[in-house]
Amino acid sequence: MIKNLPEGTSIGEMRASMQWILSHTARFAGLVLVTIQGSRGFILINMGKPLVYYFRHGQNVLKGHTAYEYFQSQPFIQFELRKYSALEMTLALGLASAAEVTAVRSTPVKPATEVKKEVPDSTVESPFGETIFESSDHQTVLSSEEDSQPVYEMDSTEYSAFAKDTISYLGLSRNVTLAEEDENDPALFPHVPLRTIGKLLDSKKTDVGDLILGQLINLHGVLAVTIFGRGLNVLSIGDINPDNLVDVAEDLINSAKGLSSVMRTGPFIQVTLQIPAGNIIIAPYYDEYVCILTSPGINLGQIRKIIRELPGIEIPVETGGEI
Amino acid sequence: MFEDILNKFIIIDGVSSVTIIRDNGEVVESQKTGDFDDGQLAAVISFVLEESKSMASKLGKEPLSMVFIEFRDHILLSAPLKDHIFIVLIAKPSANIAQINLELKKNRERLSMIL
Repeated sequence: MIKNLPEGTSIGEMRASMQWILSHTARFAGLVLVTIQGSRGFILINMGKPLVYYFRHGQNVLKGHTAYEYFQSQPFIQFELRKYSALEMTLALGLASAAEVTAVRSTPVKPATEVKKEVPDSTVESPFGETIFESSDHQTVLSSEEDSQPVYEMDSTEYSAFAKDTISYLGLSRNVTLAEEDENDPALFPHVPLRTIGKLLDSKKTDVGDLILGQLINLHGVLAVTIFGRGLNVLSIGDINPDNLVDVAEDLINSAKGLSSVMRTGPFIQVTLQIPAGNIIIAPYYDEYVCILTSPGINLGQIRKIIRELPGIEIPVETGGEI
Repeated sequence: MFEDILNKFIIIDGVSSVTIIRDNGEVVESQKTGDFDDGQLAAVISFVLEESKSMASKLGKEPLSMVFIEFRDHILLSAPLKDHIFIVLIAKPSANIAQINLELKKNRERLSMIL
């Protein structure tokens, strides 16, 4: 499953205890990629709330509370923080949920208020002599016995609804069947080309912003779309090396915004650079920016129309036509 | 001669200024209907053009054909005429950008010959 998760933006690597990780990710949304004795796992965290725990050692997979306990048992964990955008988080949850739907399709959802100590469904011996528990319930609400503070909270009803929405959002069939996890960690589903993800987003009117992003990448002539902000590339779709562009793109936006100091321009909507090889279009996208690379022949009027609908910009009065 | 050509732009509905500037911010020629300071504007635009050229060069060292910046209340369109000299047009968002662009294509060569 790990290799199918969105890559995100690496913030850094370090070693720390599980407790430290949970207490220092209150403002973090993304993936904590864990490495323990050469085996890998992850914690999907959204603003301090762990959503998914997963660890794989050889043929053995730990999920949910069992994975959490295993992480907790380690004095230190080597991990890498990878920041996710809203879209990446959705995709990651979609992957995790797809596995969840298959694995626990027959398992009834527990009430959100239920608090119980997880009883492992099975145990396996790891080559390191550790006993690893594997559980089928990944959404248990539990409290830490050590300090009686909630370690993490998971509203299973909400999660279940969200998982359904995510599966629907990604255009995956509810009846999707996944290959067995113990078959060399196969893909949850065949590698989905990024353009196809765009099409999936395009076909599901769940979120306006992501829908528009899906529309952009599927427009004839659009070569790549990247989202960036504060010096970091957040998400890239298509043939682009965003690291080369982010700094200079932000400088360009800042200099363009300098025009506001000379004349009353109103809010910035977009900048388009035309070069013989195509066009570079940059526009606000939520709190960040979207950069679109196109071939020379693309209909810029069409892109301008879509950019007007991007969240995070003020809708201007009607303009006169395409460039 | 300059005036005649620039006049073709300024008469387009919604166009509030047309300016020829050097990339150091110096104004070569200007016609405007708005009340903004075209000297200051040229200075800021020269920064924008510099950054635009940097961005274009990051994507394969290609020359810049045109820069189009859109704000809620104004649009700015700039194109190089010859080395270090650009034409900059400012218009309302309601202006017919296709018409401006067409006029630019028609007169670009003449302008660059005069400069």
